[in-house]
Amino acid sequence: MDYSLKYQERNQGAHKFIMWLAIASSCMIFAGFTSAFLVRKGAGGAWTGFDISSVFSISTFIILFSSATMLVAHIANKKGNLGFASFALFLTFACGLLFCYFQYTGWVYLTNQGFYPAGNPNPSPQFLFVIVIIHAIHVLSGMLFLLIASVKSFMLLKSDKQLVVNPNSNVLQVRTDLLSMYWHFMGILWLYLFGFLYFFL
Amino acid sequence: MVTSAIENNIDGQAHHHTETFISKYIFSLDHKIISRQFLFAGMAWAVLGGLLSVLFRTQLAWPNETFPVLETLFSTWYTDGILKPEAYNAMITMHGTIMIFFVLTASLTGTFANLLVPFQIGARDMASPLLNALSFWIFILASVFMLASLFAPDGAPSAGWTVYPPLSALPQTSPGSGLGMTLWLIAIALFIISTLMGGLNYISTILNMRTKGMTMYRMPLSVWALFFTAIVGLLAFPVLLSAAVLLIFDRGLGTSFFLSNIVVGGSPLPYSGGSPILFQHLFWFLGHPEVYIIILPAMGIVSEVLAIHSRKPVFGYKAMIFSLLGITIMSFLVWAHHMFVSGMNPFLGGVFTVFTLLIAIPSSIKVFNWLTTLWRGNFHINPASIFAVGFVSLFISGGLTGIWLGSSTVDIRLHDTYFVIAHFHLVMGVAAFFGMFAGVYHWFPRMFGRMMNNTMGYIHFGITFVGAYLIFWPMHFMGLSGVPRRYYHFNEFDAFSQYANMNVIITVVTIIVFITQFIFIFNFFHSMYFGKKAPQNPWNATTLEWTSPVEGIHGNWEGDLPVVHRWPYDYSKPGADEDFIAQTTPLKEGEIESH
Ligand code: HEM
Ligand SMILES: [Cu+2]
Repeated sequence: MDYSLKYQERNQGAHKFIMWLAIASSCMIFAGFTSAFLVRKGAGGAWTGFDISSVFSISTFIILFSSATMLVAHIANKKGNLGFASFALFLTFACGLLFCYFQYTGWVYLTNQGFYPAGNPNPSPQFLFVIVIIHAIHVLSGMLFLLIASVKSFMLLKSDKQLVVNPNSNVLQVRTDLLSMYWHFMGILWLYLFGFLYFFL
Repeated sequence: MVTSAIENNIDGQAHHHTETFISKYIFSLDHKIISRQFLFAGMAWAVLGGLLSVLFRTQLAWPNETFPVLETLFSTWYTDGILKPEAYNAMITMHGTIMIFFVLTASLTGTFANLLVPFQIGARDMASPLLNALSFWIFILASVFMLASLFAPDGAPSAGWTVYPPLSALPQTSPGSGLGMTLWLIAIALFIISTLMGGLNYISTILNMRTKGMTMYRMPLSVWALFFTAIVGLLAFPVLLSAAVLLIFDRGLGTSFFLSNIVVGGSPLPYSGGSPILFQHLFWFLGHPEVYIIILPAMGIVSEVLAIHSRKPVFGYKAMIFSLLGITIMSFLVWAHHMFVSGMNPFLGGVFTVFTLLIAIPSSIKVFNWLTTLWRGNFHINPASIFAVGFVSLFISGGLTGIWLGSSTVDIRLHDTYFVIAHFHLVMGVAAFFGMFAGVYHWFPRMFGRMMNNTMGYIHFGITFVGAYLIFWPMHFMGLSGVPRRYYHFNEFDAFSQYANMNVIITVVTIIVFITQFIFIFNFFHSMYFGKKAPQNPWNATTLEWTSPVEGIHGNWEGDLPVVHRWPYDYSKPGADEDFIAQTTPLKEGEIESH
């Protein structure tokens, strides 16, 4: 194989690796929150739990569903079906939006139940609050890139340029690879947080 | 974000397109330029951080004198020619923050990881040049916020670089805990994001982009050190981010993660149940690894510089790598030695004592190996090499007192005294600066294609080295007799009056050392334009960066990438014609590769 081709292939592998590392460091952020949570809970004192399964179950379902649409986008992209890929990416973006919306309404519901973070002698809502917000920020930043990718695929489709020069330099491919890694991670992360909160809150 | 970098780098070949000044020097994606940018930014920060220390040292030396000149220069911080007490706290806080985070973390790693990682592993650039540039520009954004916090109208942050709540959490507690502290937290959050972006890239580049023949065990120790630095950062910094986020919530949204039952000025606050010690745990879980994030790159630079300038292979190459690994792992197990007096189960204190003393082992292995690398070497004296030796000296002197502090019983007596100040300035502060200086003197020809002036380098070294010991050595004795750190003045304490003169001496030396740094800065900028033109390989070194054209081209090498055939320390190899063999030279017939 031509050496520069090989170089470029390794470079694309390196990008995926960067994403793995980013996922690892993001895990550390939540490890920080959840261990602070456990330390605080273990220290005793007021701590009222709340069953969150009913409050956040819709959003949990949505984010898992969006993993499926992401997968579809990934496959469509691999098959070179740009239009479909663009559509599925947009659908994933929309799911993200819905997810955030239901997180928000869930939160409002909890606040109305007296489960509010500020000035509450019960410390559990504030942990929930932080965890949900920081996760949502992660989701929102992923959505930004979903939107960009969706628009870019759409524009490429319209411009009918010769896209695939060679299979190794398919930029779109790498882009959706990275995006789907991140997006599936968002789902898994939320599942972990949901489970954590369900069992420990 | 990540993907457009691939588009830029798509054919992996050297590019030669016309570039404007802006795209070449300002928003550059080239690792060589980004390395310079980090260095320049760090130099600016270091001058500011140093200046702050001169201001608060002046207060400590002459607490009763007035300085109208300083008042005209820094009117917000002075009244009646005297540094205000709250400004004193702000100065020490900002000095620590600037030096630890902005100079010795961002700039030291940023400069040398950018310069050395692609060059020494034979890559055209970082895995993601765009992410790399983004890391620098977010660092600049963080710098802007940090600078703004210094000039916050009601006062600069003054809770110490460790920003313990409740002081940092409640605006009522001190003027600097208002807007200044908010800006500080934003700056640190941005700073962490920048550091993480850099670190991801360094690790991925080292693991994926090595040229043909560059196995892991053929990488120079500088690359190994930067590799472990990035790993430590990747695991530790996110936790500080969590702590900063929780603190921001406590400050802005009325939560009480770290606050409980506090009464300020007679009125109780609505917080309850939070734990300030939780913050200390989160902070030091980063804070201790952070000191190694600072020292590991310096260690890598020194290993490299010592081997090259004593014309000997580094002693115990693999032992060096495994001690780096040992430090990396153990640096996560000792954080609570900063909290022995915060209230801790004595048994837990014992556990942390044991781990703390154990971490001295990999550190001493490294010291032993540096000394044995020097031993009977053909030592070439130049500014780079003596700064590296100075590093070893300072690291030993400061490291020994770490063992005292690591024992919880002794630490209860010494905590928060000048003994701790002496310990960490020698082992980390000054030592890391020495590593950085060694690196700059050594790689200046690679960065700018010219040589620095040696005479000025010797003067810089001599005064800084002697000065560092004069400043920090007496502080051990002050700390042993109980002089506390972070005090505005000692006028009211008879017990400490014996150190009044000592404080004057320390301050005078501080000012001299500070001024001396301008010799370095002059030398640096003068040599950039007027220095002697550098030859291709000025130090007769074996590593790949010296095979790339001096003028610095995009993509680092014309045509194919260099191919590596041996480890980086073939100096004075028996049977060889010259006293060094470049990594690109194939093994001779029958020659056995050293390890
Ligand atoms: C030889 C092994 C070492 C041991 C056993 C050790 C032990 C300690 C201990 C116990 C403290 C806490 C003192 C106190 O606050 O009461 C301390 C403080 C400190 N050490 Fe070390 N240390 C060692 C090496 C290092 C190294 C290599 C660095 C940096 C490169 C370093 C940087 C610091 C810093 C920055 C502080 C002070 C932080 C602060 O309170 O502001 N130490 N050390
Ligand atoms: Cu420590």
